[in-house]
Amino acid sequence: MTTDPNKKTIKLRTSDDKLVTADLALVSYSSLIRNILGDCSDIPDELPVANVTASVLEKVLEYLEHHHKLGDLPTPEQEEAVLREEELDDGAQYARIERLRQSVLSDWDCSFLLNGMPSDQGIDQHHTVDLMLAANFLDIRPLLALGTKAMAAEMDKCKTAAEVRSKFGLKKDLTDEQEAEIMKEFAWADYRP
Amino acid sequence: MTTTTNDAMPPPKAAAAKRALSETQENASERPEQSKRARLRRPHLPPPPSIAPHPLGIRPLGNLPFAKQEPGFVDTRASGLGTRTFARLDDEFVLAFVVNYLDPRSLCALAGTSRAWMAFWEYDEIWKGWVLEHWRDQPTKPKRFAASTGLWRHTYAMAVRPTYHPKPWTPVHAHHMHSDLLYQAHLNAVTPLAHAVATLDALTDMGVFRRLDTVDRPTADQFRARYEEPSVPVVLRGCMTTWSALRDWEWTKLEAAAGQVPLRAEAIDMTLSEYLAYLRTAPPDEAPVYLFDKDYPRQGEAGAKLAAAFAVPEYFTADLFSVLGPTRPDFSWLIIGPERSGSSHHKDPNLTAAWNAVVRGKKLWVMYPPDLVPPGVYPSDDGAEVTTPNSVSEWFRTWLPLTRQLVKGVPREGRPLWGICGEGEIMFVPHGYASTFFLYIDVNTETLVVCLDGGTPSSTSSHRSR
Repeated sequence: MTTDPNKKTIKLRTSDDKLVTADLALVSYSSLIRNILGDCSDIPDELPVANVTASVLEKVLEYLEHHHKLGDLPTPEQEEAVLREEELDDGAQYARIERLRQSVLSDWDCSFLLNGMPSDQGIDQHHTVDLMLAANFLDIRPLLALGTKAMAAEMDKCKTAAEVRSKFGLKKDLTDEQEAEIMKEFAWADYRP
Repeated sequence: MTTTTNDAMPPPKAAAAKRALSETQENASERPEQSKRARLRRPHLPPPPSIAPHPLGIRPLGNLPFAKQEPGFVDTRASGLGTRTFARLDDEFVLAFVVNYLDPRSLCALAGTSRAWMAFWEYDEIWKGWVLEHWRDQPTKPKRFAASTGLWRHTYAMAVRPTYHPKPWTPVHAHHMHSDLLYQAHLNAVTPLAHAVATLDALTDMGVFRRLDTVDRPTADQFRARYEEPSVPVVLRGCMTTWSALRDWEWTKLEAAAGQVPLRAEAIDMTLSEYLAYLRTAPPDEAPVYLFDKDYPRQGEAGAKLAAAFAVPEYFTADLFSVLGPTRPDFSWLIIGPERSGSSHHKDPNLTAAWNAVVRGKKLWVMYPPDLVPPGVYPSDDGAEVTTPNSVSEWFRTWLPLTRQLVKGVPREGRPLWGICGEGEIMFVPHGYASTFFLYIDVNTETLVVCLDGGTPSSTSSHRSR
């Protein structure tokens, strides 16, 4: 433990037992870490993040650093205000989700999720889900929303069951007859409202 | 999958079990409160009822470790949702993803992908939410239900494709799919209400619960002294004899007289005729939609006639709220719903007491005294917001038995109450009582329940403020 008021970084011990040094300003975007630190009288030298590996954590920090510089992440006070509003008003929650659905991913975010794969692949799905699980655990809502939206966008590109299977690497465990039955059952869905 | 936890109890006594179940048919108030027989017998909770399997063969998560050991096991969920992607997220997340980020068309493209995705697509609660949202956004559109199949998915298709005709759907089996989320809705929808009553009977035998008092037409003074001032809930009998509603509210007559009256069901309005079409599908919902409307008296002549068919019981006519004029809190509610609809635990707002009269059907009430928080219910600090299980069915199945632990050390007068209010009976709920109710019918004679409900400030009764 240290009482050094100028301390700007903290070490995080990941699930694969590595130590990652991070800026306090960045990790404060995680509600989980913010709440833990709020319960401590002094800032500890080391904090465990039991559900995140080092490589994923570094990617999370990369995301936070970029958006922190852009200034487009909500502050803790803003997040609290939104949560309180949504508790009282379902409409506010629907409105927020609708805004998310309509929003467009920035170029930086797209290439962040692509993670070095060729761009015709869409996103690196495994990596995106890694980020979603980490964001869920650390409670970083914008990152969770980003991942979810990207997965939804990938899904929306698929028009048929076969396309979904090939895009997401799913096993076809229905017989052809069963698949045909199900297709008949939702043929109405090809509507234009 | 859930089992009773009475490890310390002796093996079930068949006679006791039979008695508990047979008495669900009798009128609650006829039973003697406590008897020597009850003290000599060792009571126990009824065993879980046998439940029809899920139509898709989905089983609870608790079965998964055993299923994995069986030869021929295939991890349907993992391979079907995607081992690198959605299978790593839990069911609640996948459901939230589908509901919030996909639209109905995308969900349909997923349906034929794999058994696991089909299981989510088939989960009717998703479609119910989309139907209600669609109707909320287009309030003037007529509401038509898929009468032949009773599926919300079909009702949605009818709403967006006027030429769509639902056809019966034979579910495709989802082998080896294990999910508490998907299974619970089925379990809650098919668990017979008689099981809830049998559980309450057993808990009464154990002294955990008390039966609600009934009283026949007390005088105003008797009512005030015995029930209103000491805040004692009671079932009032014989106080609706002048109500024409008891005589006139038969379904065909009611529909003929008031079929076009718009009535509120949660966030949407529908006419009584439209609602009756829903009821005729014998909705298999875990928590069926029910009408809860306060504006009917002002809906033209038909609405006024409905309001004229009853009278506020004499004990509640000293209406102190009338000094507030038009800003007074809403005071008279019409409630119509099928079996299994109901309200989860709530306290009446505005510090009012309430009276609730059953015109048709029966109503099963469970009440906890003001300073006893029911198990599974989490009120916010100011009591304005309450977190409860999704459906009343779930509360009765999972949480009700935990009242046994809750009342340890609580004196008899502080223990919770229950009873069944039948036709022609009025429930008096003093303020501060947390109550939940099930609309409950005798399946051989009734199709649904109609009640009237009013709030009244307690004029002279003392109350403990928190």
